[in-house]
Amino acid sequence: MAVGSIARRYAKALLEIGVQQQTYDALGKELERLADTLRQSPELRTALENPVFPIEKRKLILDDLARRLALSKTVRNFVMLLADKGRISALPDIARVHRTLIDEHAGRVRAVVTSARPLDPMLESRLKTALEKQSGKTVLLEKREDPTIVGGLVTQVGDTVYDGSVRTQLQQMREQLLSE
Amino acid sequence: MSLRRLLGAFAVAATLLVAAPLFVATPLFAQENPVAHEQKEGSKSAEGGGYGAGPDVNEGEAQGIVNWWSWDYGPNAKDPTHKNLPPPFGFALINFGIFLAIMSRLAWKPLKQFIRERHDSIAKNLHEAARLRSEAEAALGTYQTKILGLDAEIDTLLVQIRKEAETEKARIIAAAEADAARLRLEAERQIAAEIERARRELRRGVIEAAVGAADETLKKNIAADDQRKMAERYVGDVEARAKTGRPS
Repeated sequence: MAVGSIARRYAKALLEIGVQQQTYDALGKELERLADTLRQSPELRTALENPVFPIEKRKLILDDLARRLALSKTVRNFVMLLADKGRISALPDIARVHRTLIDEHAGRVRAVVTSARPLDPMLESRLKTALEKQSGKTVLLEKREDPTIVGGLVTQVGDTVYDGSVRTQLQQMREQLLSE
Repeated sequence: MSLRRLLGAFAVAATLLVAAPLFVATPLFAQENPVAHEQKEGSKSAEGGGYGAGPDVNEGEAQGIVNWWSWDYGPNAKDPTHKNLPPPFGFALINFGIFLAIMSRLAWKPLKQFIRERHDSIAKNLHEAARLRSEAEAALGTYQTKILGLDAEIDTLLVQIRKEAETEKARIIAAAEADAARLRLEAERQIAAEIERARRELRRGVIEAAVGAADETLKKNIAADDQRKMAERYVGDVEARAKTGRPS
């Protein structure tokens, strides 16, 4: 079975539990914290994914990690289930899909705006408002800086990109001149 | 001619050769032969006896054939005077005559046939040789005639060869001109293609350089105010889209 499909099934199950308990945002944050920890420690990830180590030992490590990260009982049980099923390696994907499902459930959408220099707060606010008006959802705006775009802004909302960068305009001009 | 007939003919001829001295020898011995006589005299004095070596023999030789029909001859003869006589020559002649008659009956026709065929063969060969000679003479006449007309023929051939050479020369020149035209056209096409390719490369290089230079210039020269204006314009566009509800 594809990793994306597996991740979606587990993420959806966790979301349903969180909706029932009205704690889906908190569960999502806990899951992301755990996924970040695994991402930052390759040794820990290897120890948890390697079948050479007995499952009991791996579960002990996970339990200890859950206590240190102060994870709820729901998330702790969820990762133990993943360990039993041998799906710990899918945890980062599950966290990503879970976040998307939470946003969809809460009527939110995440947007990334990239600028060559720090964006003026007033412009950021106007952009957020415009994007919310266009998407009909609450926009969670994430700001990034990338000097290679030279100037202008690039906004990505879901799979949609609004590219107003100078770099892209130069590329378009180059392609147009070459095609003539 | 069969081999058997040939052998018969050969036997007849051999018989004739063998029998001929019988007819000839005796008279010859009867005639004066000083050398033979002297030899016989010598042998008589040395050996002192034998067939034809005694006085009777010399006498007989002088008299011709001495024994025609008598079978009483040789060392066991009853009559002592016949001890030196040769076998009877008359019976030998009769014997030979019978042999000759038998041989002529058996070998005459094959011999005749052989001679006729040999004659025909030789005649045929002579006829063939005459025919070949006639043909050779005719061919010789033809060649002599040709040789006589050879100069004219050579002149005709030279004219023809020159004409063909001119035609071939014209054909080769035309083909070469066509090839040259084709090569020229191909070269022109390749040159045009190369020029176009170079022009495109140059254009690409110029565009790349121009875009690169523009990129560098903008990076160096875009001020904070320019950045803010561009961001405002961008946000304005997004707001306009949001108002019109136009999809992205």
